[in-house]
Amino acid sequence: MSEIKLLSSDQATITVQKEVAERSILIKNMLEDVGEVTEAIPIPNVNESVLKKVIEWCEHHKGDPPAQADDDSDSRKKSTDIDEWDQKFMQVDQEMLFEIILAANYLDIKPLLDVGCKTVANMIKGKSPDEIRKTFNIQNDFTPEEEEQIRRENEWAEE
Amino acid sequence: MATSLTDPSLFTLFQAAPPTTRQAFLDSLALLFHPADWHQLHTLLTARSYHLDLLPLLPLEITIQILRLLPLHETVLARRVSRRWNTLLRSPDVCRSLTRHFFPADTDTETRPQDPAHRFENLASRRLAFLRHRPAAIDEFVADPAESGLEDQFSVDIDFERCRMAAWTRGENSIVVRDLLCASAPAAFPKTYMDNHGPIGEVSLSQSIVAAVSTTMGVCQVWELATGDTHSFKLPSAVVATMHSDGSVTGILLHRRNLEYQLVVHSTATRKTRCIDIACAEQYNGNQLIVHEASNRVVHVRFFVDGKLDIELTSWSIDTGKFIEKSTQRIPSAREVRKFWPMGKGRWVINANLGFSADYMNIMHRELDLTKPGLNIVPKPYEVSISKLYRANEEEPYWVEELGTSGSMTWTITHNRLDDSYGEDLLAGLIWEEGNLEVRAIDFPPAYNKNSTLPRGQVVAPYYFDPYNRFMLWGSCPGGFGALDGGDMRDGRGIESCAFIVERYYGIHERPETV
Repeated sequence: MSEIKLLSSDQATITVQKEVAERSILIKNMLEDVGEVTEAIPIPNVNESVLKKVIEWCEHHKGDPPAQADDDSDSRKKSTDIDEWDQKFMQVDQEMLFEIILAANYLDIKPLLDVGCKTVANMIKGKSPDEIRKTFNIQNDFTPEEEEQIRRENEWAEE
Repeated sequence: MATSLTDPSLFTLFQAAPPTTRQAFLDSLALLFHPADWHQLHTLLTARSYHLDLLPLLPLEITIQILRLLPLHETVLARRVSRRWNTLLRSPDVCRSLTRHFFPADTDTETRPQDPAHRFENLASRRLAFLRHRPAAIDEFVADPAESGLEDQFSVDIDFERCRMAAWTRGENSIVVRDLLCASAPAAFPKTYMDNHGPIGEVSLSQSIVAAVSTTMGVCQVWELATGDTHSFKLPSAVVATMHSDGSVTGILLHRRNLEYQLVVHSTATRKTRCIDIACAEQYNGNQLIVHEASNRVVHVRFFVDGKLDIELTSWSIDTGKFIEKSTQRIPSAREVRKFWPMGKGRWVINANLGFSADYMNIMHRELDLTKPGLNIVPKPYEVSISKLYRANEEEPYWVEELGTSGSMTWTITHNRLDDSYGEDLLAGLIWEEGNLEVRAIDFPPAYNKNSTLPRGQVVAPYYFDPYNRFMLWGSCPGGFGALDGGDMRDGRGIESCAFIVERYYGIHERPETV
């Protein structure tokens, strides 16, 4: 099994199986373009801890069948269901979650990006505005008058 | 040299140190921690870095991907979180994208440029009112079914794209074309067309004509909606199996004898009528005619039921009457409706219920797109969870009476009620949209639930749900299914009070189109 090296933004070198790294479409395309590489591939947008986390995910999902090009209705159907392993994997602080989503986006790992988005959606789903504020530690910066106005404007959406 | 833990130079040293030194320092410091220190550290971490205002910080395309996973109403309610969220959720990019996601069928229906936020709010408020059954207005008008209260006996046709309905009223033997969005005040519609050829069996409505066939005389009369001009033509038989009109073209399928049918295609523009003989090798269990003027085709759809459902499509040229092609499809379920539903603009949909248990229903959703060459049916399978709406009862499976689609909305009519409070068979329904499968339960007839002045009757069909959630229409007769044998249809009250009932829905920025 051939291995390749990745160089994180904070200059850490991580050795990883080629098959695992190729879950990233960015890396896969890069390897296809340059052929054999001996040097570490720089991943300038992702630091070591995030990169390790992303690789952990790729390790676990290396055998997954490739995503269907047209699984739109299917993914919408399941909406925010997340596989049990992925749920545990995503039990990280919000900063890490944020970094994982950005890394998945940059590295072009669509299934991981999907899991990240579903995780965030589940943090919002079914919550009142106040509960959302608490979840993300957001300051309510409306004046009472503004808040009342915005509530009235969007009243039609309430249950 | 620092002598006290509060000595500022200690912090300065820490700040200036390179990351590796800082880590090493923290590692050795951690060895000295008391459990209380760990607790304190944990509290600090939770308060500080575990929270992040993620949504507005992410790249817009990812934020949109997340928002699309939320139920429709929550994408609106989340505006109340903060100024940042409010700005984000009202922004043109987000609103445009949410519109595309939640209202795929409406994407190309915009008739005039509109503020993206207003457009989204209009569509969303209409959809939510529709799903929650909060109509802005309810209207009823009399319609006489050909036979008392029997399903399929209403002679009616709907033009979903223009929200018009053509219905035969027996009393005056006339066809009435109504605008379903307008209140009943006089306007360009309703328009009444009188027929002189005996009682009407079938009616079909297109954007420019309404056509009606009399059951006894074998005559088809056509009216041009714009001018009211009328003409008629004789049919080789009076036994109409089915008919359909599109643009200026009417197709009528006549049953000759046993396995022989005749397809009559009439163009109002050229006044030409063609007859095509159709002979079939075996008996089939349903057929439908689809005229598509834009692609110059008339399609005859035949359904064969033999454990599975086989669909056979045959097309002919409207201009020449020549055979074009034939295609067959198999759906692994023979239950329920054998009918393509119009989605507008040359697209048609057929649904099949592939199976159900106490908590799910597996729906096969197939589309025929006549704007494309050929007669291909593209499958789109999906599952619908119904556990919240029906009691779990394995012994009494859901008998799906009707499974229809218009636009992105799909509905079922079943014979099971939503609760156990009635012992008799009554109708209940589910409606959902393909995009995010928000399911609404419908108790039929919906309108008499709350302080309604409408006659307490039953739905006898047909029922129509506008793909754009502007209206819902059904026919109602006192008695209906359960009372058919009881004789109260004949007591002089029944037939006259049969009615069509329209519920209208408006978006929050829309004014009802009254005259």
